[in-house]
Parts: sequence; structure tokens; C-alpha cells
Amino acid sequence: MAHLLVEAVMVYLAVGVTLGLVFVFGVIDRVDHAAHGAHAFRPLLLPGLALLWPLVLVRTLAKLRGRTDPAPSQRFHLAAHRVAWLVLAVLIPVALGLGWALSGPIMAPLAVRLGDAL
Amino acid sequence: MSHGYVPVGWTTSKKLYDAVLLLGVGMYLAAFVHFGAGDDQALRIKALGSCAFVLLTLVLAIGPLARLDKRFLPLLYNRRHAGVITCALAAGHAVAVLGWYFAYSPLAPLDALLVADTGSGHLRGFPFIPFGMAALLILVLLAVTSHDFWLSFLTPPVWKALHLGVYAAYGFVVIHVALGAFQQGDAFAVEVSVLAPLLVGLHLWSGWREWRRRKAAKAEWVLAGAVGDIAEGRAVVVRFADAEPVAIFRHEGRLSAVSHLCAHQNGPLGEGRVIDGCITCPWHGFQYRLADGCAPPPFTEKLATYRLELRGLDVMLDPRPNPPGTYVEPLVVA
Repeated sequence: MAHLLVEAVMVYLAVGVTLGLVFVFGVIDRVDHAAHGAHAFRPLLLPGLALLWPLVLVRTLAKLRGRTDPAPSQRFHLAAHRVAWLVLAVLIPVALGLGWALSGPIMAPLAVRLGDAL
Repeated sequence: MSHGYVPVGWTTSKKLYDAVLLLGVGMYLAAFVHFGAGDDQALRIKALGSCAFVLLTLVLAIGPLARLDKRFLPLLYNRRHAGVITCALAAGHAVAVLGWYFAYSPLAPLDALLVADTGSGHLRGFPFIPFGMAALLILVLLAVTSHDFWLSFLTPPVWKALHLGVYAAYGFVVIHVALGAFQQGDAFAVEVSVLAPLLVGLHLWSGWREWRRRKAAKAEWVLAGAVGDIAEGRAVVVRFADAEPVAIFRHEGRLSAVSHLCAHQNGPLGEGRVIDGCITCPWHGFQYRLADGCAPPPFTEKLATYRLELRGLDVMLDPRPNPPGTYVEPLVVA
């Protein structure tokens, strides 16, 4: 199962690199005018293209069809930022407390036993 | 506003920043290995992980620090380089783990990593490795999309949403350490136990100040200065104790007020000039229209705008920001 997963990831990345090469050498000029005449930066994009190629494909098709982007809003970003830190404010103390408790003299043997039982 | 892409937009300050950063990383790694206890390879693995954690904490601290004190803004400007170095350190940690703990497995190292037990004496029911892998995957995703091209191509909202993943990465790292290094009694555990709560506290403090600022912004109109103080094509910056600074520009005898902070990387817009009828950020040349704070098409960045009023020769400012991109008729002064 693990081997299959690794193989699937490799295939995904290989497809991404192939499409990425097509993108940086053939399509990028049509979707971003700031790329015209700029070539040195293009290899830097390949790792991102390999990872995000489905999203790049969707965005490229949308751009080639002339679809306009919705107006950006800072509100989502700011609200998400607030929520993220409130979640971390709870999660981090819990994780640290759990980590310390499990490594302590009382909980550590129980944790090992629990692990063995599982 | 836009310019042709380059691999890295080097400036003298960026080179200095990176040199200091790399020197600091080198010294940290050397000190960790030199003073740490244990075998060399295990120490190197922990040094890389520990350094990545410290750097990630610093990267995440820059935002609230810059909001609390504008002198930290130069650090914010170059935060992406620190993020990429963090990713490189984390990747180095993972590669070292693969090459040491999984080198002699009958399975291929990557396969072995996926099926690995956390080992006797650890909390077997809650393996820590997947959390580290998830954090690394996010850091890699952020590092490989750090170039300005991605910001433009994905659009700022999508790019920013993607990069919010750094918070999840930080949470995963803390869990990875709490269930991993903590169980081995490493000194690293103390480091994480101190730095992570400090970072959370810093963000909460900054957020609380922001909340207070919003309450303060409900104040009445404030005196921004005299009309004659604002030079043609330039701005004056109005700062508040608990509110964002505002830049008031003068162009062709009319005044417009927008946020002092560029929507791109929070560059100091008020230190910029009006070029071709647009406010131009001194850092990357991002441009915005005076009346509505919008970047000219096809660009999509927007700034908060503010209302102005003339009372005699005094310019009065309503400190309550309008939603980004709101049109405000420029104030005629000459």
C-alpha cells in the first residue's frame, strides 16, 4: 500500500513536470504579460508547477478564455488569520501539555502500554 | 506597476539580510551540534529540525511585531527568503532522517517512512512522523509558490489563502515535536515549550491591539495637518497611537487619502510618489489610483481609502477606513 502511494505521487509529479515544462516554455507568455522577455525566473516555477498542476491547468484555461477574476477582499484573509491563531492558541497548549504529560513518570508507561495494546 | 520577472529582486538590503540570516543559521547549527549530547548523526538531524522550528517561529513573529512596531517592517519585507530557508532546513531534516533511520530498512526509505512505527517507548497509537510530513509538505508548497509570479497568477486572495497554510504547518510541527522529541526528553522540547506559547501570546496581543484600534477608529475627525505641508506629487503620513497610518497625497491640487501600507508587501506608500496619476510604492512599484485606491487594470490590489475635509487651511481626516477600493471624491485645495 505504501509503495503504491509513493508510486502514485511519483506519477503525479512526473505529469506535473511535463505540463510545467510546456507551461514555462509555451504558455506562460499568454497568461502573464510580466513574463514577456523574462526567462531566468522560469526554472524556479517548475517545482510549484509540478505540485500544483491541476490548479495551474484550471487557472490557465480560465485566463485563456478571458475570464476576469473576482475582486479581492482582505476581509476573508484577516478573518482567517484571526481564526487560525485562536485555534492555535488552544491547540498548542493542549499539544504541549499532552507531550509533557505523556513523557512524565505517570503517563509514559501507560502510553507505552496503550501503544502496545493498539 | 509591473516589471519583468527576475529570479530574485536583489537589493543591497536583501543581500545583507540574507547574509545575516544564513550566518545565524550556520552558527545555530554549529552550536547545536557542538554543545548537544548524543551521536553526531542524531544531533545533526535534531539541529536541522530545531533550527527550522526556530526560524519558522521567527517568520511568524515578524507579522505581529511589524504591526506592534513599524521598525520591524524591513524584516517583513524579506520574510519570504526566511520562509524558503526554513523549508530547506526542514527538508534537510527529513532527508537526514530518511538516510539514517530508514537506510537499512528492507523497504525503500520512502515506503518505510510511511509504514514506520514510532518505536518502542513512544506513544505508538499516535505516531508523530505524519505530522512532520504534513508540515514539510505545506512548507514546500509555500516555498515553491513564493515567487511574485504565483501571487499574480493565482490572484492575491488564492495565494494568501494558500499561504495561510503556514499556521497549520506550525501546529503540525508542535504536535510532531510534542509526540516525538518530548518523549525522548530532549532539550529541544524546552525550546518548543517556550517559543510556541510566546508566539501565540504575541499574536493574541497584536490581535487585541488591532481590536482596540478598530474601536479607536470610531473616533471623530482628526486634524491631519496644514494644506501647505503636502508637496505636489507627494504625501504626508498621519500616524495614530492605535490605528493604521494613513497617507494623504496631493496631485494636481487635489488631496486623496489611502492606507500607508501597500497591499503587496506592506511597503510604505506614503514615502512613494504620484507617477502617471497613480500612487507608486517605493518598494516594488505597485501602483494605485488616488480616488479609489485600486490598482489599474489588469491588476486587482486595493487599498482602504479615507474621507478628507478642509476646514480653513487645515486638512481633517476621518480615521475610519472605507472598505478597500471605495471611491472617495478627491478634496480640491487649489
